[in-house]
Amino acid sequence: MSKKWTTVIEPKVPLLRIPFGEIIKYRELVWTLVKRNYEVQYKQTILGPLWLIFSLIINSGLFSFIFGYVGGFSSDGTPYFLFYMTGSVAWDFFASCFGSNTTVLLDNSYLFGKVYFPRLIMPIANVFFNMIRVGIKLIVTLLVWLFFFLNGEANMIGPRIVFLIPLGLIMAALGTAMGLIVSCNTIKYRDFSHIVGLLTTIMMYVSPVIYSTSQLPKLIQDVVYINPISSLVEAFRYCIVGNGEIHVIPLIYSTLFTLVIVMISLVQYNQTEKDFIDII
Amino acid sequence: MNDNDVVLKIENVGKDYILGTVTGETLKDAIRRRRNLKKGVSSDDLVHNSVFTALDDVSLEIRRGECIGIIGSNGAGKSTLLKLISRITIPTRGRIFIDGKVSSMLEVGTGFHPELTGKENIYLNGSILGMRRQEIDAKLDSIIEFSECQEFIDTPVKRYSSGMYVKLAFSVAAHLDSDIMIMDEVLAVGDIKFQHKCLDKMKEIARTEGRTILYVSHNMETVHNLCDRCIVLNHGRLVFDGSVDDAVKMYNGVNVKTETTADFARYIRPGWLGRDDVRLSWAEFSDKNDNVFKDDKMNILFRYKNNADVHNAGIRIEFTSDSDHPFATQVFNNVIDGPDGSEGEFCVSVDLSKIQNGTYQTYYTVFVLDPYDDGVDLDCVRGLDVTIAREHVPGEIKWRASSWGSVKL
Repeated sequence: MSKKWTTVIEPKVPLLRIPFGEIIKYRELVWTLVKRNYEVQYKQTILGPLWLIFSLIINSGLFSFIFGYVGGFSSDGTPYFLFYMTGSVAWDFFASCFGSNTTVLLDNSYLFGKVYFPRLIMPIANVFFNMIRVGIKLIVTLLVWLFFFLNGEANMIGPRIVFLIPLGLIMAALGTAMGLIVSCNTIKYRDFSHIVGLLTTIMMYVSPVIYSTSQLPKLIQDVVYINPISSLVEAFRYCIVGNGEIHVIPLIYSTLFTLVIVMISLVQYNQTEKDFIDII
Repeated sequence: MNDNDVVLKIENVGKDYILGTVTGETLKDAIRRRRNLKKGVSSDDLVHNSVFTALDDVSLEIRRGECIGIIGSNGAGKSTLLKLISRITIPTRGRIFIDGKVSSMLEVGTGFHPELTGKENIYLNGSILGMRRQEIDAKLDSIIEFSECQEFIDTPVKRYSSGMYVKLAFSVAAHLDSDIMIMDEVLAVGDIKFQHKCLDKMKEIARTEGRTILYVSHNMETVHNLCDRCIVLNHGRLVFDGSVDDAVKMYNGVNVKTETTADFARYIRPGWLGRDDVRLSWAEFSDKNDNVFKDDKMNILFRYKNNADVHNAGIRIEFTSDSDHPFATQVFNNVIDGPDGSEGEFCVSVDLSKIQNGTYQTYYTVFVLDPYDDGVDLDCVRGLDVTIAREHVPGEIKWRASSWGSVKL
């Protein structure tokens, strides 16, 4: 009589496997970890999450001054402040999904070495935490938009705003997948941790966070769209301010790129997490 | 008995670790190594990275409700086995089948965050260990009460004393609830009083119906208390599986002893030995037929084998009473000398004249002196038991060992 086992532990792990069932079983852990991240970040602060809003406003103000006022970059007719705020909200979301997951294995090795839970829980919790932050920032952005709208300087928000959700998900997936790949490789080669900062800077400047692509020559535009985050940031901004245009082909490219990189990262994560604790 | 009772089945499991520097290498090293490999040049790293087998061909079946002790000296593979069962790392060979939920208490305070308060950490630690939120809600009061930290429960744990910290941490672990529990004796933490409380709690968990327990310990007494079956690991292999009594005997090397001879070839050395330069292989009372001594001389013949060059090593004959407290030791200097691989024998004559009647355990410890004249122990084995039974000499006081000790000056 063959018996049904709850768990079978084998030396080989399937290449592409997402343990959905287990992750759902551990959903409370995701929530607890998100809460931990939140609480740890704002313990012993008086302003708490208000810091998030301050830094967003100050960043957008600086960008408006340097690139808009001094540099005279084109913003397709959107008020500078709103233009840079939408850009940096989108960018920060991607960058924090990426950044927080680049060290997910190393930082949590003390946990992974002592107790089992589906290892994907950690990146998932990171993404949820970043979603909360981006949610707060979006609310601020909408208030800023309202200010400009009442002044007659911004367009009305249409139903297009619902596209923020799929765009956000793609950005989260792209950032997390890239983060996981870095994280897996950092286990053996710490060289990868040095790439992170450089890569983030390059990706930010080679994407329309601080300028609009419409002012660029065609050739340079194409180069910018090789960066998978470019079209996403642009579309994200378009959904709120309604200026500029949507580039469909780069969007499709970014989506496919994300799918591929998610697959790669899952395969690598599965193969790494099973025994990385032995070599860390 | 049918197959359905088996909750944990381990099939020919082995685990290899790579020794050497896999972690510190940079991309440059990796590329260089790959290039060297292509050229057929063997680089130094390859020699370094030899494989260490921590577990080899271990097979085991555990049924529902069994309470199993795992004993073995340090480095025998106990932790590796537990890590595999609790899914922290995967085996290199073999398979493990589990039926039910496994909780491992390998360490207290897993995931505790210093910034969070005691209560927040209970929730964090609990859910990391696999507890549901409602479950923690229900047990919160008893966890806090057990931890003896009621007053400080809303204070961040970074301000806790280390004792409070481990008490709180253990309390969470002790309230875990699952089909298979993996417990490590080192969990018993805090002061003596709290340690006893921990052990009692573990016993309580073990006795609760239907639980299957894997218990790792160096303390034979608690294994006796808790377990009804015991396995012994030695150098990554399962060397014994059966009753606790026999396992403890095996572990202590009792079964290869007679009254007057002891074979140490399979004796499992204690883990604290830092060196392995020489090994005693045999000891015997060569001039006697039993271990009862009526005169003042005890002659012991030793055989040994060197695993390294040894110069001027001595041996200590240590006497301990029932409670394992050493009370007398005689030292013999310069008895072992020889190059790597050599074997030899020597004889020592122990002076028993000051030791009073009784039955004593002994330990034989080989040592060399370091430059500061401290002894560095090279081997330590449990020696032959000794019974001293001198006849009473009329007119001399009858010795009361329980009040005066075993040594007459």
